[in-house]
Amino acid sequence: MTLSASKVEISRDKNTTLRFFQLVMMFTDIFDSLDQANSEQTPRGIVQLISKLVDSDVQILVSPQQNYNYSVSNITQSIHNAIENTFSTLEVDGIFQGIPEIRLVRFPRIERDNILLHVILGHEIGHEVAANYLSQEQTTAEYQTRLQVTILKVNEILSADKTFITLDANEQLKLQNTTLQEVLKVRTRGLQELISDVTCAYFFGPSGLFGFYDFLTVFSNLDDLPRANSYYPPPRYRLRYLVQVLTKNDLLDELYHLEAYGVPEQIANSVIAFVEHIKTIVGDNSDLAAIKANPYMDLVYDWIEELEESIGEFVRNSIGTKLFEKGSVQEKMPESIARLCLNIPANELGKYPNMVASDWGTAILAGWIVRIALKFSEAPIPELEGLNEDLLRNLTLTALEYCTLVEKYTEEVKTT
Amino acid sequence: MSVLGRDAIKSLMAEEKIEDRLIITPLLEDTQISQSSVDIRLGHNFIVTKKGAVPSIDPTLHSNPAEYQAMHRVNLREKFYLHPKELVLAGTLEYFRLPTTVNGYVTSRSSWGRSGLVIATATIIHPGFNGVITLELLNLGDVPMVLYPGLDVAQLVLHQCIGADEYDGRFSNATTTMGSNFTANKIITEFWTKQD
Repeated sequence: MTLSASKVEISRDKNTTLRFFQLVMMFTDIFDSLDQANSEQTPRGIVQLISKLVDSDVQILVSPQQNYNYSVSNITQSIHNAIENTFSTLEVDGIFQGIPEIRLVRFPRIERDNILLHVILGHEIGHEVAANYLSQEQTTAEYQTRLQVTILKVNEILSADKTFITLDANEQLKLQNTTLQEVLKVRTRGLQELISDVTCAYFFGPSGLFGFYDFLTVFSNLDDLPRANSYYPPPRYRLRYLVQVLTKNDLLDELYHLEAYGVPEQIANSVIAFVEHIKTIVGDNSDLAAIKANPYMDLVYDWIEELEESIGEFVRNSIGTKLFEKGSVQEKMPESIARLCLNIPANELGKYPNMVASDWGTAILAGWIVRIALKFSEAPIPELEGLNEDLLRNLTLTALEYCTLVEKYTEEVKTT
Repeated sequence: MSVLGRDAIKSLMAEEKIEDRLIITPLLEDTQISQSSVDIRLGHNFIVTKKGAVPSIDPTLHSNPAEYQAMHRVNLREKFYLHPKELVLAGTLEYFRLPTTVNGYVTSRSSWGRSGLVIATATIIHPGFNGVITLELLNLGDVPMVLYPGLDVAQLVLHQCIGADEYDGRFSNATTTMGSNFTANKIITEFWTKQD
């Protein structure tokens, strides 16, 4: 800021002054986030959760926001972008020397204590995976071939339009280009969101689907088509995509066996009923009909459908060992749920002297299963008599903190 | 009734049925279980008194502890300074569940007590208690004491208990440090404190 102020002093140039004020505005926003990023406003568990999902050399700043939205931004990169036109490369390099990459993670303030909903942070981290996917695919022969097919189809759709053929050649070419650009924008946004959703599902398993169901059904019309400027896929389409991914990886069907694994019957049945409810929602194809009715959307989403396999493989390879453990539903869920039924955090399994630490994916899914049972069971569940949603969230948050602590303690103390 | 020794404590923690089990989690070291007690650690959340916020703590006037107490989070490896004659509340790192056949008392550990740290006064843990235990820390020494989350400053002595119900008071299921609350005893308090 001092360097920037001195530039304004020296140049007295309108553009430099404008850029300086833009910088001030940006820093105001960052300082506001910094002011909110304290333990009274931000539960520690969110920080630990997000730290699990990103590389260890990245610094995290977690802060609530008024908007009902989650976001992750790279503050270091934003500041870099904001000043690179004002300062010389040498000055910019000097400013950023030794400064780590800082990510600002924002979550809706109203959901502060709702640790279960914060699985959506997995989607936000997934945007980075999506960016990598999109950048690598452009170099592949498959993409170039499919792009040529799309160009031909766009032209074909346009040629069928009576007003198009009345245009002169230049105008036709211009319209072909702008239409193709819009189609590619819809595709890019669609893939960004869907790849991020898939990343969330691979991180958190069924919890990712439950979190999205809660989040997407708060305000959205499930069949909203992608709109200019945002181009988000229809929420129903996103839910269906998640269901498909989880089903293909045997992560959803496991929930149908909870009772056989030892989870109390009413809790197990509530979860099955809830999964069936989501399946009914995604079984309704009104969003697909809306997509089909628009030839450009149809073109884009046909292309997206073809990429399902490659997206899954890319995401799995990208998140490596952070993948949700498929076996945890059978092996860990009955005891985790039994602990929650007794108002004990689900951070551990087994009895003395063979206690073993659980993992955050299991702790969160146990929280979701009990929450679904608390909220959607038709009759009161005796096993959950002393439990309410607030306590459940606190127990889940505590379990996450304990899982993280034990992991760190084991790494540093028990292995030395 | 008799105090539980190491073997009895371990045996309770190894109960087959989780409902009957003594839960202490996370138990980071087996050595926390000593001859006749369990060493317990400081957690991350401290409740400090906002000095000057109220002239005195009168249960008839200050039923809302937020008026004079504030929560302070201390992260891993951060220091918390406990000044001479200062009282703070701190939750344990561990979460407990006592079976209904057992109750407990929290006391200082001698090495800390000899340095001036006292785990004060309201130390009984009822049978069936579930949650984080709130410790009352008082520095009786003459110099500030540096505390870190994770330090094993206190010990829990467990006793056999017969004929008890499960505790379901307002401190049950606490996942963090709990401050004082005089409203829980409102009727009794009014009898003793009503001003004519």
